[in-house]
Amino acid sequence: MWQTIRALGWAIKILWIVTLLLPVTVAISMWELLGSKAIGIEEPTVSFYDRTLHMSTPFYINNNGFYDLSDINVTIRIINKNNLVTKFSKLYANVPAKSMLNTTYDVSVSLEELGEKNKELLTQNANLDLTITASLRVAYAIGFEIAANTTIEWGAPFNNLTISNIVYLVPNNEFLLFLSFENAASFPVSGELVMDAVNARDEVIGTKIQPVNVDSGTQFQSNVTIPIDPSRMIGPGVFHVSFLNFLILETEWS
Amino acid sequence: MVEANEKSWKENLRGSAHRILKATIITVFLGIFLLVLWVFVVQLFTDYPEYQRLYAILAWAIVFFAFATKVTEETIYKFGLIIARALFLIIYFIYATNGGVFTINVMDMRLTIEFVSTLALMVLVNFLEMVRGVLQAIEFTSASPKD
Repeated sequence: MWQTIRALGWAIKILWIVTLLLPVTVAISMWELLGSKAIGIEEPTVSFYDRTLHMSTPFYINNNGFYDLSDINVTIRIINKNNLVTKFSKLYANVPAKSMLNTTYDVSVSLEELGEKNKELLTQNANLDLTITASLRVAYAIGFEIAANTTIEWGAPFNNLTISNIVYLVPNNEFLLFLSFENAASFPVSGELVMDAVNARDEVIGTKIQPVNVDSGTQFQSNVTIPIDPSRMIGPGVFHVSFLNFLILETEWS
Repeated sequence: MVEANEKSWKENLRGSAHRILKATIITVFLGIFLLVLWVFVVQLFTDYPEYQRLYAILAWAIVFFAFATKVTEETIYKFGLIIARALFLIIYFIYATNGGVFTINVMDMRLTIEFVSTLALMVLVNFLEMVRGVLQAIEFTSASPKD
């Protein structure tokens, strides 16, 4: 009995030392990580191709601490007027002690995904709520999670897209209209705007393809003519404006 | 016979006084240490009175158990108090750490620290302390001279 009690006494002492040392050394490791520029985030690059918006943010973690970093996860939620626009989540490889992780946080969002849930984001600037959550585990035992909320200004690629001054020219059988928008996005917009004139029976009675190549922060303004099949000219109807086969604007004509 | 009883009574009184004095000195030193620690805790958790209150509960409990176990030295009650202290610490650690998940708001950010495995280790240590207390109590009872 006495031997058992002594053995238990030693086990308790050793376990207490481990229990107290672990949080202290983990705290020192975290202090090293946060206090000495061991984590760095570089300038993100934004591009638009294949109907998809891409953003790449390089960052590094220099693990100077005593323990490995594991389960490194970064999640970003983008919310517009309490509606979740999109969510990105990425899990990174473990960073062993005294080593460095050099990587990028890549996010891609397709035009369809953006348009399906929040069509107005393509044609209207907005303030988006951003929730960034970063988590990691130190020594495979103690987990840290930091969450921050911020607001970012979203610049719409077809901001304030409008069709105005609609005139039907009877002799030529065509619509003449004025098309304008501002590319408020941080990337250039290039492609084809397809404008369909649709009659009251929901039939396409004329189409015009308008090539656009608009740099970031610049305005697009153009007079557009749409040839019409006069035999099916039954009003009132609508103009459909599509970009990359994705409907971005619907305006009535009469 | 009466003289022997009187002598035994005086020895008991002297022994008790000695134990109480020893317990008081140890408790005072422990109290001073916890008080110094309290200054840091208050500074660290200025905006979190809840954590200050939890620290105060722990400090008073430690002081009480330190005094009580020293006073009841060489009696069976000491082991009862050791078991009670371990049980208290298990419940306290689970409650105070919210089951091993600690969340604070720093500036505009929310920091969450999850240390369930460390908490499990703390619970295990105290559970072993309880087991040891029971074994010590059995050992003490079996070794005590029968009346």
